[in-house]
Amino acid sequence: VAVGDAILGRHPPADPYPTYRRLLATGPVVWSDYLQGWAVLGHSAARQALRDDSLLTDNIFQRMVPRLAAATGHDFAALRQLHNCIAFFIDPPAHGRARRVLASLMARWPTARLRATAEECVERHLERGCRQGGFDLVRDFARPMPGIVVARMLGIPQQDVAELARASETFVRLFDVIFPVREYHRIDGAARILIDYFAAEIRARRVRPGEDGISDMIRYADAHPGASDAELAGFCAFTFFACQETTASFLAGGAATLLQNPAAVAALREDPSQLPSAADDLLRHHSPVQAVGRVASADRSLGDVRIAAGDRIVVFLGAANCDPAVYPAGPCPALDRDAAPHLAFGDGRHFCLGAPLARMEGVVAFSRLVSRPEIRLDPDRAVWSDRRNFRGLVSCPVLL
Amino acid sequence: VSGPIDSSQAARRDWVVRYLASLLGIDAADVDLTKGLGEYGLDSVDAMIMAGQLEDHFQIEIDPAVFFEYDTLQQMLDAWNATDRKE
Repeated sequence: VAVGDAILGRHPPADPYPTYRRLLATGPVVWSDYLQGWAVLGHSAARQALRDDSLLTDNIFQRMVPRLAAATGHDFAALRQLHNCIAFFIDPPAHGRARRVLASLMARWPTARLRATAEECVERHLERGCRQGGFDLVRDFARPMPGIVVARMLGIPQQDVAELARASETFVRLFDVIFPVREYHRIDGAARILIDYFAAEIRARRVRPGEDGISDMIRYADAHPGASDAELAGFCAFTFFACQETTASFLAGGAATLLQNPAAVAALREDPSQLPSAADDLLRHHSPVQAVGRVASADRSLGDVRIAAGDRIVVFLGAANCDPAVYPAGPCPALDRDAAPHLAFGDGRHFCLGAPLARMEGVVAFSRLVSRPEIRLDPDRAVWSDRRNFRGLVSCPVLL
Repeated sequence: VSGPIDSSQAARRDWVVRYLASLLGIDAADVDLTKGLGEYGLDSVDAMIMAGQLEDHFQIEIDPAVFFEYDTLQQMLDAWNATDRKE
């Protein structure tokens, strides 16, 4: 079965879901020569894998980057520093420490504290786009708001967001894993921009702390020793790119799907109480992160196969989220039904810490979108990124 | 690299053979292009590094994923040569 090739190969399909459904018919867990590991496709098996504490992160970059460095003579220091602070690449016991620092930040900044920033940003961009007679769903609707919200949380100026968002967009190509070395140089450059920016912000707050997320993180780290300032810079950079890129991808893809379902747009305008469940179903249908890697640390069964210690496993979140055994076919977003919990945020130990934030941003963005019945999509002109893992629209024109 | 790059099909084949021979520590005559990278125990990182060296040498762009789309190195070279004829 050419499962990995079909999704993670050189020419990923703009819409992977027909491929997922075809592959799901062959079984919930299948071997892939291309991945040199097990592809987990079924919803139940995927959830089992994500919740299985004996499956560790597949830290492919830790093995890869030193070899790339040796071959190219470039040390990729920024990439390594940032990579080591990406919580979902860290295993226990270090994982718990990293997660507590990040969780302390999210706890200090609940969605209620950020909602007004999200609303103001979306409304300002929609207002301007509609006044101009048309806009781009990605550039003018989906991408601006997540960065502005995380900037509010961390306490950095709005005018710095555009450059950090560009670096974030470059950086997430990393999750494709196999790509030309020249891209690794670009990714290292993007990591350098993010790391250096937040290192300077941390130095400034060591002198003059404030009432912002970075200062909160510093105070937490000082009270719970273990994280250096270099690591805090990495955690800030991780927080920024993760909040920015996943949410932008979700908002663009979700809005594109929503606008192609006029009945759902009208229903949500009539009854906004359905927005949270609609936003979640859009997230199910449009999982920004398509695949996550694991390595088995013990023999076990997964779905209907036996996994041996040392085996690689790739959990296809996008496939699990369209498993017909769990989600009956039908228009998206599904309204008036209780869908099974989706896996777009992962599950288990690495469940996304930003899930409440992403959900709030989705509800805010989609509520503003449906409030403007004049907005029409031009889906034939939608352009999808050629990234393999980190799925997203590059552009999509909106007409009025 | 000085002067024009010899990117004939023979030059490409020779480069790949010499590269693999040096990487694997074997004689160039023993490099078998009817094998895939995986059969030589090489992985995706080796493919990325090799693709990067190919890019530098032949001044081209090559996606390392191609090495895993074909069963053998010869098939990969054939596909690469075929892209020229289209140009």
